[in-house]
Amino acid sequence: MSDTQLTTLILTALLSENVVLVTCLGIGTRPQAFLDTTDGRRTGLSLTLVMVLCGLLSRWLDFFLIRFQLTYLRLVLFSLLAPAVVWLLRRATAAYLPELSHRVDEHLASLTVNAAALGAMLIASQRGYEVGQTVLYCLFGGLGATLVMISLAGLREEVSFESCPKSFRGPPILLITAGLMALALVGFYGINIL
Amino acid sequence: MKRKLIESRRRQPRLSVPTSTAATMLDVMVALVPALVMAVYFFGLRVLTLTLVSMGFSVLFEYLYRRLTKQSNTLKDLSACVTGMLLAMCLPPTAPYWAPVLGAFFSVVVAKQFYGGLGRNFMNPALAGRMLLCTFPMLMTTWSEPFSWLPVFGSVDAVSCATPMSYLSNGALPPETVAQLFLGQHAGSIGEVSSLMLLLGGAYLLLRRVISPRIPLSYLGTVALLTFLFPIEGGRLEWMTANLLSGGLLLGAIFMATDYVTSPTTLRGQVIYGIGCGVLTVLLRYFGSYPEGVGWSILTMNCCVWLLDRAGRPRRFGVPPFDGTKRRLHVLAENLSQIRLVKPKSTRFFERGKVPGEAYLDQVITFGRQTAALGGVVIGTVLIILVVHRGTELTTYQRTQQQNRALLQQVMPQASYLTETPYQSPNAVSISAGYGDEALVGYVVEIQVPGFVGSITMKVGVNTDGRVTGVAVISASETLGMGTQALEEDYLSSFVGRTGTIRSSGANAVDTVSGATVSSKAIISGVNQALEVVAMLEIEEGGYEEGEV
Repeated sequence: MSDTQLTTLILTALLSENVVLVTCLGIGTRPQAFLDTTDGRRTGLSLTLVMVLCGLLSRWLDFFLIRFQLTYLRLVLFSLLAPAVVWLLRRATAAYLPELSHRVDEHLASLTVNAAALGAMLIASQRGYEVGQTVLYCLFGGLGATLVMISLAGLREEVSFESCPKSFRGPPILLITAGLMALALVGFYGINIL
Repeated sequence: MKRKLIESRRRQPRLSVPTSTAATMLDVMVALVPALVMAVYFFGLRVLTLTLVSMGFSVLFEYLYRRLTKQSNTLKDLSACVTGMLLAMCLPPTAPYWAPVLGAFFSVVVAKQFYGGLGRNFMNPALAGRMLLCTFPMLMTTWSEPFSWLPVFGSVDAVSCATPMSYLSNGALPPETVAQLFLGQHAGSIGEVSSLMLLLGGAYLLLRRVISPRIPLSYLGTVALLTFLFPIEGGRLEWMTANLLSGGLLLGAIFMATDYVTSPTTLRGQVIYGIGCGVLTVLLRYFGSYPEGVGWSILTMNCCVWLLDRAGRPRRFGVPPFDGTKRRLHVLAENLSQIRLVKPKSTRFFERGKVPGEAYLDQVITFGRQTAALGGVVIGTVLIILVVHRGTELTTYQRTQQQNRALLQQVMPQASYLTETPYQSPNAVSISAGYGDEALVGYVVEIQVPGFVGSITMKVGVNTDGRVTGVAVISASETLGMGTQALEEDYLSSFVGRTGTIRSSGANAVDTVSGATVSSKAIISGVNQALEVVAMLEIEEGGYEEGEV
């Protein structure tokens, strides 16, 4: 892929196919991530790490699946790969980096069945990305998700969400805010650096 | 003796700045009037009725919402009127009357009132309404010529024409002269045509101290700098002036970006806001798929304003510069230093008096018990998938062969079978050769191009003369009903027989499907890539003989 195509890939992963706002993949597992900036930052960075590792391993797994003509097992094996990666990460940090584990374990736990990791793996497989392109896509997809989580949490702290109608307080007004932010991202659809 | 009181004849100093929201809003409306009058001069009274409909419905929706939610009536601060007027300014003069109504509802109720009314919203309401209408593709893309006055009632059959912005977003200089762009004699939305009147309005607002020059200057300055440094066509100055005077840039920079509520309050934050808007505008104008970038860029920056306010906070007196940053870095360094690599408690494999590996046996048994259920389900699923795959393999194969034959018929009807070739190209997913009657007919190249949503995978057949024999789309996820129009067979068959570099307008052109410009352009670029790939193949082919491996 040429440099401009790589830049397009990066911008696509970050903005026009933003994992949280546009493709709506990495959302449901942890509501506090959208309410608190620290939580959002940690969950987002854990998601980025999980996505990058899953992306890497999925390209190698995919290579073997294609080689032995077992592509019909792709979905099952990818769905197992994401929780396996998260489990390994949790065990590894608990054994070797206990302080990091204290900070990050709950976030990793909430990512066990995150759709963003699986989605990134499947998208990379469908579009035939190579390993480097997959890593870039997953990295910037995760960073985009982190940015959105931090933005929503920051907006929640700055803009008083208590002046909205009583029935809107809490999740409804957050969803409307997320919708308005997604509307702002519609302008980046189809961005293509030529 | 009576002391004579000194009577001062001097009046107390009184500053004549607008002190109420209503006065500020009234100033904004007055500043918009010259542009509105110019638009009426160019496009007829329909402009006026559109504006009145927009303003009327904004006021109505705000009144109804406040009344129905039993809150105070806020019509007096005139903000709803301004929202309505700005929304109308962003519409094309050919807009149907339901467009401002929908836009007004979204702006006033969703983007403003749901958050608690004026001062509590984070997104510019008029712009939010306008961008919602932008997602209706045909609505914002039919423009009319100036001086062809449109009927006030009834549907509009305007002679659709291209705006300067559509030329710019395609990378070409607009044909209008600078004077025409400046005065407004070109197609465009109501408020954006007349740059002169907008600048007059802006000057009025600056003189009345309603807006500060910081945001407009940083916005326009960034756009001017970037378009000066990276022109696409024409001289630098020409390109820069065309960019500054076309599209909604002046309207956005003077009236939308300077909205008090949704722009940063800190001074440095405002400058960064203006620069950010400028960068995003230029990025979207050069590379985005919509023919405009101002609205999207201001909306995106609106989402970051909370961050800019924090970043732009002035330094407290007595505190050294970068103190906050230094403190945060300290905290981060402290946190990171706490995270140390630890040698875990290990169980030795070989231990005296025990069977090798006995210590691990407990762990393995516990792990097995924990994952027995999951393991069972996984194995069961894999078995079921295997069995079903084996059972349906034959049908799948037959179906695939059928599809391949149909595809070959569409892509290269002169060929009777396809074979894979060992050729590879960075642009192509695969290259196959099509043979008919024992002779090479041509090559079928599989290309992946980025479309509007995701990527489009297509197969293009190119015969040995370098002409397209057919195009077929294998997979795409374009917008249903709009983008998919460009993927239909009638459009794809218009590529047959073409050669060279196909453009979307001008020489050797295939017209884009209206409403599916990005998808059509993606198909065109895919076909061009395939033609290039085959051309390179023919050049490099010398030296390969039949039978050589």
